[in-house]
Amino acid sequence: MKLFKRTLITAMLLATTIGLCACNNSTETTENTVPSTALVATPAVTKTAAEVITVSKPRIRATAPGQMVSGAFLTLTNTSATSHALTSASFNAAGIVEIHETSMNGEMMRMRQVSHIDIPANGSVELKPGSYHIMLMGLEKELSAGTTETLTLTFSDQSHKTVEASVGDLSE
Amino acid sequence: MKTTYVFIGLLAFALGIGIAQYYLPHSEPALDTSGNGNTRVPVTPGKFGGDFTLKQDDQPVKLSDFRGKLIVMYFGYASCPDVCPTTLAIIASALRELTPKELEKVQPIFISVDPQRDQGENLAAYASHFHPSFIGITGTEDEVQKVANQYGAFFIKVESDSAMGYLVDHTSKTYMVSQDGKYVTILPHDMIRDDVLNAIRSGLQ
Repeated sequence: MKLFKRTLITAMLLATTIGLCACNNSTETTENTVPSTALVATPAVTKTAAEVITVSKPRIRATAPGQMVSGAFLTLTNTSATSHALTSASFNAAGIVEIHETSMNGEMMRMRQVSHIDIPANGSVELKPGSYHIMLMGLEKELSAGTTETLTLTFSDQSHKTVEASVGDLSE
Repeated sequence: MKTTYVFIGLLAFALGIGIAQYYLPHSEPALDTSGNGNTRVPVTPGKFGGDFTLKQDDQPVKLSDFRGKLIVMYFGYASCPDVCPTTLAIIASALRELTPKELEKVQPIFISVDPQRDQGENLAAYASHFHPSFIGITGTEDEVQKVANQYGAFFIKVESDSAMGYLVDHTSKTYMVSQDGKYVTILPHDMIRDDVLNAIRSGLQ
């Protein structure tokens, strides 16, 4: 009986490994269709999320004196055929940074923390008021309109991207 | 036994809906819905709208002190990074379009539904950051709750895993109280600058 169990587990592990290999092969096949000399130099052909995701309209809301929180907004566009996700962000002058989602639940506006934001393959996701935002908390300085701040985004594959965001009074 | 619980649950649910129907603005007579999502409601003492007193930086502020001015009022909280400041910025951008003469007759008010975090000077500074004419007022939780009920605004504290601690869910409408204090025009959460501007200008005529 014990032997049977062990054989079964081994078989399952083997099947999983084969499955994973098959997956790897398939991605390699698609990557190989792109003729590039770089492929020879770097055998690990998969591009990181940071390389295939472009950021547009990065902006941070200016704060009022004494205000300890603000929100950052931007649009993430995934130029690859693989889906990715934004998993965290950081900002020098903020003690804590989280990803939040605001939604209307009937007539009630609610804000909740989310673990990540999916960025679909060949698609984009907009972080904007009334939807997702990067929540900056415990701000150590006032963020004044007209200045620029650096945000660092981290994606699901642990790759990072830094973004220069303009600070402004956002009314849309 | 189980059915009893289900029954009690259903009863509570029905009661909740009943109470919500009573308080929610949509149950009020919509006298003027001019296709822009605004609702004009007459003030009915004890039922809808009317006077109240809250505080700005420990100084009592009574709504009727502003009689003769058109009041633009919004309930929110200062640590909301998203919809509240967007709405306040929209109101502020409409205020900036007004002539000085028009502006003299308008009083924008931010009412904080989070008195625990929004206190005194900070609240005043937060409100006037959007436009110098803005005041920021609040009270005890009970006082603010009472004012919100009066106008059909809702808010509720929600515990969260976020480093924010509790969050505040709330309705996001803008209330314009007429210069004679007799009518309240309610603007929806998705209003834009021109909606505010038009409502102010038609309110001032």
